[in-house]
Order: sequence, then structure tokens, then C-alpha cells
Amino acid sequence: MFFKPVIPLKFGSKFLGLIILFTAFLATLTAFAGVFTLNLTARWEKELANQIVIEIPFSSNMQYEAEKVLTYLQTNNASNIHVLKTEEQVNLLTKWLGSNFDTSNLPLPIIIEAEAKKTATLTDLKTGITILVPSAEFSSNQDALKELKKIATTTKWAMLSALFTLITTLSIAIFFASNSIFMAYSEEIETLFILGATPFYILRQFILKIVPLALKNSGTGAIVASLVIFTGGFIVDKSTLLLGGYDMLYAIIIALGGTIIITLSAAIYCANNFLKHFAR
Amino acid sequence: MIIELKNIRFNFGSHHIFKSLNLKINTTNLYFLTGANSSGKTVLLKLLGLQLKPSGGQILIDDKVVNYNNIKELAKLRQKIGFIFDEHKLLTDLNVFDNIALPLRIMGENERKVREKTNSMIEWSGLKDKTRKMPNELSSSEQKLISIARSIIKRPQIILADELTKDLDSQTNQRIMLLLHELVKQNTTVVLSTHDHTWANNHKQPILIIKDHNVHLS
Repeated sequence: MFFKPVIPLKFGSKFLGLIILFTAFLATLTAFAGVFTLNLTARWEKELANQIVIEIPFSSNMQYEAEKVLTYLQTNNASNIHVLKTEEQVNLLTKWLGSNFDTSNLPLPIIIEAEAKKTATLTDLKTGITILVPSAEFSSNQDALKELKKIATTTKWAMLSALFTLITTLSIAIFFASNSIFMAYSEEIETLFILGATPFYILRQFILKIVPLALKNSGTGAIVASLVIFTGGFIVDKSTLLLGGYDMLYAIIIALGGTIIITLSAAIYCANNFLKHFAR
Repeated sequence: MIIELKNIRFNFGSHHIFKSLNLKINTTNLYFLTGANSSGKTVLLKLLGLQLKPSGGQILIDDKVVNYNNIKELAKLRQKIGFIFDEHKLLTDLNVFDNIALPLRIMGENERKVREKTNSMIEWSGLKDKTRKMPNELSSSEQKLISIARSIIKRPQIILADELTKDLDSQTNQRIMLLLHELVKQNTTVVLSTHDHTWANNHKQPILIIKDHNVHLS
């Protein structure tokens, strides 16, 4: 009899169900946005943070200076070293200046792309190269990344605030919904106490009703939200569906787990308060 | 079961029902409880049934003070008490069978035994053809029978009944009294509250009379 409710509670579960469904839907969207932003930032950081572009200005001895830089890079923890060929530079310029522009007489610099290995930092590389070739100029993705990080951090806090608001709203809604259920069943609860039921026994009757309700509705909410995300992703980018790795899975786990835990906690908290009143 | 009330005080707001009530029920018997209207018959039954907490004093069961803060212990004690309500208090969402079976299920009785005992109680009540009916489909006297069956099914050590005969015809009344006498023989104490002194006197059983905020045994 442990998992079978003794009292067939027929309380209006539509309102409670809708609250759970709607919260799970919003929580999944929010959690997905949060997880996705954090993962994207981490990916950008991993892929771009250590990249550096070294430009040796056009001069008569730029070949010699380039040799010095290359030797330095090869012996000082740099990898993926790539010297841009003249055709590659011309190709890049053509996009800006048009194909009719004569680039043959342009004083093109030597451009070297490299990536600092884990043990080295971009600052170390810059300092070393500047000593060898004082005229060398550098550009890295650090500035852009800083901006991206700011956006990601802001987004992260916005998501956390949204989740917190959702949790609070859900908790309050469940608390009051549970309270009205208990009020509606106060006579039955009183009779159960008189017949010798413990508060835990009575609580179990309600939990056995609320758990399937929470599971069903939070599941539906999460599935609907997933479909929205998948559809959105498909519209934006048909090949990747906007999703990287397990972002979606994590979001569903967070939203589902969160909604169910909050629903049960709020209901149990409410029940405990309510039953204390009857217990004596 | 020995129930003792020591210096019990009970009041609703400023209205005193009992000021210093002392009562000891230590002999298995069938007691009648009488008194004027609003003298406190139902309150006394509810105090004995541990449904109300006294404003002062102590209730002892088998020489042990009842601790109203120990919810588990209180539930265990209530399982030993059968209460027949004046207003039946049947659960409206449960049918006849499930209402009668409820105390056994609360006590965690094996479902096979629950069925056996419930069916025999239904047989006794004469409502075999109404097993699946809901309380609102029954007459008041049928509801009373279900309420009695529900309180007896767990074989309580004490039965407290509030205005037992109110909705019953004389034949059913007689049948219930026979059953209660049988239970007394099997070591169950019964306390029946009634406003009908004559009916109580006719049974030649000890009578508890509430008078002047106290209880007297006659």
C-alpha cells in the first residue's frame, strides 16, 4: 500500500499542473540560454585566446626580421605558425579593394599567425619579439574576448536572476496551491488523524498525487521548450541546429530536476506547516 | 486500557467546560455518559479520544501521561481508540468498503486481512449490496452503521460513541447494543454518550453524569 494512495484525492490539479508546466518551459529556455552562453564563451576562449598575429612592416630587411621572428617562435612555445603568402594577403585585400585594383606594387608586410602553447603567454611572446624586431606590430583576440566575456558574464547573471525569479514564483505558487488543497481536505485530514494516522501518512497521500503531476507537467514543459529551441536553431542554422555538445541535455536536466525538486519542496513545506496545526 | 483524567481544565475562550475534572475508567464495562445539553458530553468524549488537548491537567493512559507533542505516540494511542461520531465523518471520496477498511490500512495491515475483516464487517452491517456505494448514496442510519463498523474493525481497546442511537431504528439499535456487550465481554471498554436518561437507565449499566463542570458516577 506504500505507493498506492488510500484516499483518492480529486483536487483541481489543472491550475497546479499549468504552473508546473509553464515554469518548466521557462526554466528549460533559461537554463539552455545560460548553459549555451557559458559553453560558447569557453569554446571561444579555448580557440581564440592564445592566437596572435605578428606584422613585420614593409622594409628592405623585412625577410631577415621575419626569419628572426620565426626562429624565436619555433624555439619559444609557439605552435601552428603560419606565414601568410603574398597571394593570401592579396586575396584578403581584393575583398576590400575590388578585383580591378592593382596590388602587384603594394608594399605588403609579412604577416605571421601563431598560437602560444599552454606554458607560454602572449605577453611573453610579444616581449621577446619586440626585443628582436622593435618595429613588429601585434594584434590578438584579447580585446574582443574581453568584450565577449563581459557579455557572457552579464548574460550569466541575467539567467541566474531569471532562474531565481522562476524558482521563487514557482515556490510561492505551489505553496498557495498546496495550501488551498489542504484547506479543501481539512475535514478528511482531521478524520485521518482521529483514526490514528501520522502526519507522514497523510502527507504521503498528497505526495503520491503531486509527484506524478509534477513529473508529467514538468516533462511536457521541458519537451515543448526543447522543440522551440530546436526549431529556432533549425531556422538559424540548418546544419548545426545551434547546439553544441550536450547543452540541450544539461538544460533539460537542470530544468526538469529543478522544477520537480521545487514542486516537492514547496508542497512538503506547506504540508508540514498545515499538518502541524492538526497534529495535536 | 485504563484512562485517567487528572485535574482537567477545558475552556472555549472564556467559557469553562471543565474546571478541575477527575475521572478514572479502569474497569472494562459499558458506560453511559449523560448530562444536560451543552454540559460537555462531546468534549469529554473527545478528551478521552485524544482529539482535544486539555487547557490544563493531565490525561494518563495505562498510567502513562499522554504527551501531545509526541505525534507518533499520539497516533499509536488513537489507533487503540474507536470513535463513533455523531456526524459520521465518513470520507466522501471513499466507497463503503474503503471507508470501513481505512483504519486497518492506516495501521499498515496486510491487504488480504484488510479484505477479510472488511467483508465480515460489511456482512455484520447488512449492507453487502452497497459495498461500492459512496456515502452520499446512503441514508443517515446506513452511514451510522458504516461509521460503527469503521470504529470496530480495528478491535479498539475503548470505544467512544457520541449519540449512538440518534439515527437508528429500534431493531438496529438493539443489534448494535448486542455487539457492544459482546465487545465488552472481550475486554473492550465502551462509553456511550446520550441525552436520553431513560434509555441509559434501562440498560442497568454504570452512568457517568456531567453536572457542575464535573463527572459523577452512578
